[in-house]
Amino acid sequence: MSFINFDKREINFKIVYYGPPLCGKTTNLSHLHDVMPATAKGNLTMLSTQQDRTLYFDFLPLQSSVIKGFLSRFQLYTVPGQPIYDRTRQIVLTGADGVIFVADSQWSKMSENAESLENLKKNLISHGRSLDALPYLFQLNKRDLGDIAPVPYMDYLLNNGNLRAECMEAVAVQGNGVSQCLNTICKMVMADFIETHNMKLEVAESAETA
Amino acid sequence: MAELLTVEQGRQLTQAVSDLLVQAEASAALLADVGGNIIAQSPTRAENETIAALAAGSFSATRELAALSGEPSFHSIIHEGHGTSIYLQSVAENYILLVIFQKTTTTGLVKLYTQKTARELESKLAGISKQEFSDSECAVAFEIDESAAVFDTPTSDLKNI
Repeated sequence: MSFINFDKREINFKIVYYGPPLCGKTTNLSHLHDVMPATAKGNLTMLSTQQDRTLYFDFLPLQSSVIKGFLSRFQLYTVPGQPIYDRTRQIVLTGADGVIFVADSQWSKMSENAESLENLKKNLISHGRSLDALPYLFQLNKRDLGDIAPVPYMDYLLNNGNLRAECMEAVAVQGNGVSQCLNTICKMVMADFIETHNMKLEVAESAETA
Repeated sequence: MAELLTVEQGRQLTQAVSDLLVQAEASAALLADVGGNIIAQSPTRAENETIAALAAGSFSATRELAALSGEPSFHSIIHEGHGTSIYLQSVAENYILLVIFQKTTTTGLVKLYTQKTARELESKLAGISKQEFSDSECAVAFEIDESAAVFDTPTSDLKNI
């Protein structure tokens, strides 16, 4: 849930990277931390197991001045992909303003992608929300590997909701497509925020004049 | 859906957190929501954003532990170190007061003033989620700066695959 601080002139947004185990969620945040200018980023925090698997979440705060007169803070979180951490995924998903679903393009991972997407939908429902009502996109990761499913197949498999989401190709380990996905979801989240806020403002103003 | 904090509320809450810092003789104090958003802090430090996110995660995990133990909730957590300790206190269910302190003060003093501040803040924080965008100072039409990228990305990251 976005948070507006008029005292500090700041707006906070929460973006969650979701997806099956080892699909590249942490790699996305690592790359962003590497390439972002120092003025735009905070520390990358990883709560991992000794085997470098995400235990709770990874966290990277970024900031931008793209909304006029306000500092926009984007808090990027990943969820742990392993099935046993479902309650943790629910917790991290709380209050998300946007989701990047990172799908693994390897043929052998298609069922895990589908299961993780169903898990995302189920966990949003547990918060009284739905994927259709949330800005989200699909990042088709690992496009550099040999045994991968074609984009139209993955689009057919995953992107079959009531609303068609954007599908973006990526090779997160090389950084390709990572920033594009982030910029796209941030624009979607801000557009959603501004539309909702300005609509409420218009309703309030028309109520006052009536 | 959004929560909003007016200028006056922001100042009052920052004052309360600053007072707590002095009273508890702590090194840092901050108020965050359970989503990890900082509401007020003293002093302002870059690392507070990460601290707030971790505190929120810690509190969420503690809430789960409480539920599994048959408790509605645990109100506080303390992390005791050799030199530095952290005390976390829940406020009005959806907020967390966090105090970082050194050996120069005592845990008892920190707990006393943090709990006092938590009680005082409850009514102030209850108003945040009930506010409407139509409140005069919040009646701002937000606008995206179309000329600026959300994040400036190095060109090497922009090549198509």
